[in-house]
Amino acid sequence: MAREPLDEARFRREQGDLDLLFRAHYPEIVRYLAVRLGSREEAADLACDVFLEAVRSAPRLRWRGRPVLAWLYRVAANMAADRLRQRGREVPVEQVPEPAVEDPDTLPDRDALVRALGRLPADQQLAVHLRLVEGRPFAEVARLMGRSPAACQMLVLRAGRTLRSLLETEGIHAER
Amino acid sequence: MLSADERRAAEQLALALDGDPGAADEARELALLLSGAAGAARIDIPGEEIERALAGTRLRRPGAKRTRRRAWPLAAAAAVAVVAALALPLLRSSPTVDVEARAAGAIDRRAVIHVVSRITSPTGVLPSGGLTTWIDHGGGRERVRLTRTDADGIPLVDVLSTPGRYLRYQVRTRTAVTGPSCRVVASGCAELLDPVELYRQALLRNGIGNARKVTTGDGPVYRFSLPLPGSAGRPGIHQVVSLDAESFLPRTIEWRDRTGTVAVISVALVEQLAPDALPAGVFRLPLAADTHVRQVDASGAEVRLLDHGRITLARLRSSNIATAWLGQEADGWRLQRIDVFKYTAGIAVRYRYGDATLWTYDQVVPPVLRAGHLSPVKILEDGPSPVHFYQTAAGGAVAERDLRDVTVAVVAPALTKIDVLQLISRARPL
Repeated sequence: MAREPLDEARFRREQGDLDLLFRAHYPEIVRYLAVRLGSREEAADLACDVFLEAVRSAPRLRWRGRPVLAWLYRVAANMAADRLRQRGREVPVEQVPEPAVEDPDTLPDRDALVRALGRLPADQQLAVHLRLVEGRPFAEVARLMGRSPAACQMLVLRAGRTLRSLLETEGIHAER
Repeated sequence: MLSADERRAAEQLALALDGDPGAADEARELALLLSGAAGAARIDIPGEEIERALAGTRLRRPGAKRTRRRAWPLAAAAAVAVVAALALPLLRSSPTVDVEARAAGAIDRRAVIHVVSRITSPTGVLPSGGLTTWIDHGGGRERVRLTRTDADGIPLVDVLSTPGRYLRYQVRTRTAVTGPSCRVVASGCAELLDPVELYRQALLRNGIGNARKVTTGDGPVYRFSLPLPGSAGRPGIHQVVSLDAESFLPRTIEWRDRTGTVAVISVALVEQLAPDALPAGVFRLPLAADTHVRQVDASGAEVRLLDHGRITLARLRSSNIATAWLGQEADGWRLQRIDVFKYTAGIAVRYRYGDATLWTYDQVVPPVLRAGHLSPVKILEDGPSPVHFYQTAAGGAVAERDLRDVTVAVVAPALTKIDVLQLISRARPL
């Protein structure tokens, strides 16, 4: 493919210049982790750990046709999963829906949407993050996730349906 | 194996996400929902935050410490040379006992102390920038309000610590952590120790053994060295204090370790006020309306709900839960149901009375009240304890007050403040 040499050049540049890598991708890693962890502060904290891991490991990465960012997302996902495991099985307060009919305070808001996103399975959430939060086309989402574009479209479909059912449990409905 | 229908639905959604109006109904509905959720998750990360985080990771990179150590003695030597040049003639040894007594007497522990200082710390042992602290020792019930700014005076962090409650607000990211004490945040308690307060503690504990009177460009000062109370800093740090020779209050405090100066605290103001002469709102921390508040328990773990469910009045009465209620009927509304919420750090009880809800709780503030609870818009002295008014994120009016064993809050979106006040005044132990 024509893009391949350019992509490889970028891979090498980011691999060798960690400040460049940080400035280019720190915000999206924080955004991704903020939803995964449900905490903006914790996300910023963990994102720094992701890049420290990059400092240690990026020089050893080999070009396999995928950008360094794909590796960063994988590290971020693993670290987030570890952090969530550490939290144990207790349910965060914010994640317990209350009956909407009875509670006038649980109105549809940004928090409810973000909470619902955070409850999606990890792969669905990553697909939604890359396609909708970061605005990447499905072809690029596929490259970053190491799947086919069709598989990524399917992940987003499932994410949408899961999201709809999660929000309906809280009495929040999408407008048609 | 994916069915053809599913594949088609996924393709339709992809089209809808690209803005194709001809996509199927379900696809457009899901696209709308997903776009809404993604929009809410698309938080802005300011450039300054990226640079700060980048600088933080640079310090933590392998080898970074060694490089800084090599570089530091040169800078420290230069700083010391400048200080030495300014401190021109060494006058004579002064009567140490007088300096010690005057210095100890200069800061009155019974007063509320207001300190404004500027910190320069190339090694990062203290955050560089401006620092404003209010400390009220309050006969053992200490209150501290601390604001850190960047070099341009723009607020970065605001902290309020009162007995049993701690709140740390990051201004730029509009995020806040709250819990029962400063221990819930890493370095939270160390952060509350103002360098001038650390100086005062060391002075009272160690006395002054070696004060010299020297004349600097800003007039005469007494200069002496004190150890730094161990818990606040790295081991081996001591403070070189330059005490104003007239007020006997510190002008500069220099933290040094064996490599040289690690922080310079330039004290711009040490003000001491009687508790009843404080400016309004000093020990209140207003949060921006869209602040994301994280509530943690005493161990620093996020407060979590362990269990919740409906409970009868009889069972609640026979339990040992400290709570209060408005009676079987409040303002024409009958008590409809009671729910108990057990959190990792406490218990909350919710009573439904028609359009009004009564919450009672001890350590854990129910999520729906949290942000407003931390920044009341009005405080009314009424009856046995003040009533705090604020709003929920959804705009409902809330009145809250502390009873003897429990805090009660009435939420009533449709009622006026006066109605809510009348309701909360009826709250009594169950």
